[in-house]
Amino acid sequence: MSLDIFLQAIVSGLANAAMYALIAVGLTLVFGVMRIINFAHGEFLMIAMYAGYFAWSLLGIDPIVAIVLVTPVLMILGTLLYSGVMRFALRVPEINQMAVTLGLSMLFQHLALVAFTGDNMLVTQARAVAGVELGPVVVQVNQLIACGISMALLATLYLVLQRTDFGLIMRAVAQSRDGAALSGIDVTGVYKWAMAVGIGTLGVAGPLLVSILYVNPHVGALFTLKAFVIVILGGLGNFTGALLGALIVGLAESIAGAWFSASVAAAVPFVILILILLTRPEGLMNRSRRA
Amino acid sequence: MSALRLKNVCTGYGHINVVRNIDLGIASGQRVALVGSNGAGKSTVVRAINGLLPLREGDLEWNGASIGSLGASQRTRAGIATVPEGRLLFPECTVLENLLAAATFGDAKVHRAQTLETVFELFPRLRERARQTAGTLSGGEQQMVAIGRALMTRPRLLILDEPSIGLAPKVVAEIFDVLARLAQSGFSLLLVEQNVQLSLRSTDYAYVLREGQIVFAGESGELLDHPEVRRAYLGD
Repeated sequence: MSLDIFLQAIVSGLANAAMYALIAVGLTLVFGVMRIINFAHGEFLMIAMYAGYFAWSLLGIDPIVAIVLVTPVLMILGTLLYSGVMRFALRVPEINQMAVTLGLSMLFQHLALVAFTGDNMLVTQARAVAGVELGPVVVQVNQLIACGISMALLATLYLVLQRTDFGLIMRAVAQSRDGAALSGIDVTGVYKWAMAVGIGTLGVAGPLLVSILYVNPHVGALFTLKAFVIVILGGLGNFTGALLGALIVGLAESIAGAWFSASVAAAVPFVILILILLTRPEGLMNRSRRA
Repeated sequence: MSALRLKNVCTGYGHINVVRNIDLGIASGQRVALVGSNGAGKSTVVRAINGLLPLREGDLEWNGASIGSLGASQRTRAGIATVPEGRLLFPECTVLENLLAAATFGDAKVHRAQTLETVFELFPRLRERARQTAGTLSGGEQQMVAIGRALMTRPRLLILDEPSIGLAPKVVAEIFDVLARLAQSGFSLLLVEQNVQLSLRSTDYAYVLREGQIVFAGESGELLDHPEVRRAYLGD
């Protein structure tokens, strides 16, 4: 592999990592606060991608502008998901929680199949084929935009979580639900907000992604799995861990793709998952629970 | 008139009622002890009061209003603060964050800086440790954070569930010294302790719990001399 190809792989890997991180932080935030893995996370990304696509194809709205419209809708869907499903899922054993969110994922995929057919759809603006040369490396303009917006949002989220009361009460609930209630924190309210923010981030990711990648009813499942790997890798519920996990998965995939082939690249996240589960199941960033 | 009144409270876990027919009152500014051996249901009573465990029967009155159907956070906001068994701190947050997180609502938020100063004056150690994560503190320091966090909610009743457990005698003395100072400033106090001697000496009134029911109630000083209490709990 020549140096140029390696550099190209690094740059594409970083661009993918930024998107992966944006998708994974929502999953890890919801898990951190509610202790439920939402296996339908990717389906909300799929919905956001369709929303971005139709905003462009039917109304002529640029995906970047569509973010402003799609994000509030996804935040509302997040709170509805809480009130309609997660609220009840909190009271049942973990295996039932998994079954509920997996079932929801199937349901959304099939509803999407009915509503939008199985066709691949993509926003194809003039910008979509444009590239920027960075030395020996070429980056798609849309990838660059997606990467920039994603990093800006991740930085904002990080600051909100670390520096505001809103973030503090979320972290408090994540670390001790009862301790938070005894501190006068409205735990149910925090759950709702965690779902709104966790699913809301997909309202930003969806329109950006549909300018880079085809949307079809099954696109979400792949992202759920990747986000799941990333979140396990970084440590469940760990925000900075998700960023690190996204970086590792994004780079490993892209380097494996350049070195071997795209099909090897597709297997890489799962090889990482198996390795991490065997060697450090608590994730890279979470404190080890083994004495 | 009692600030807090438990009327015929009955609750527990699963199919089992751990405590039954609990009638208990705490007057405004009164220091009350709840004593009993391990497994008598002391912590269950605490959880029934602070709302972590729903009532199965009976009711709870707080300043004349029924609060039996309120959740834990609402009861805290109404002025009932708990230093829970096991402390339930936010281990990865700093000491300062643990304290601030308990004052994110209404009046507590308005007076947050002022209450924080009071907590730091009571426990100077916490000011030194303000930037340290709570999970890395010693047991005594964690107990101070737990008490400080409860105070941040600006309570009128402070419930302490086993504040001395697992702590060195010197630290226990330090903490009880602070509790005595708090009691002088008008707090009502409910002290749940296995150390019966200590709890009877630092309170005005006491209830004795046995197998989920209150079997004695009286002035703490009198209970200290009560032959049966002495025999059962003080090792006479």
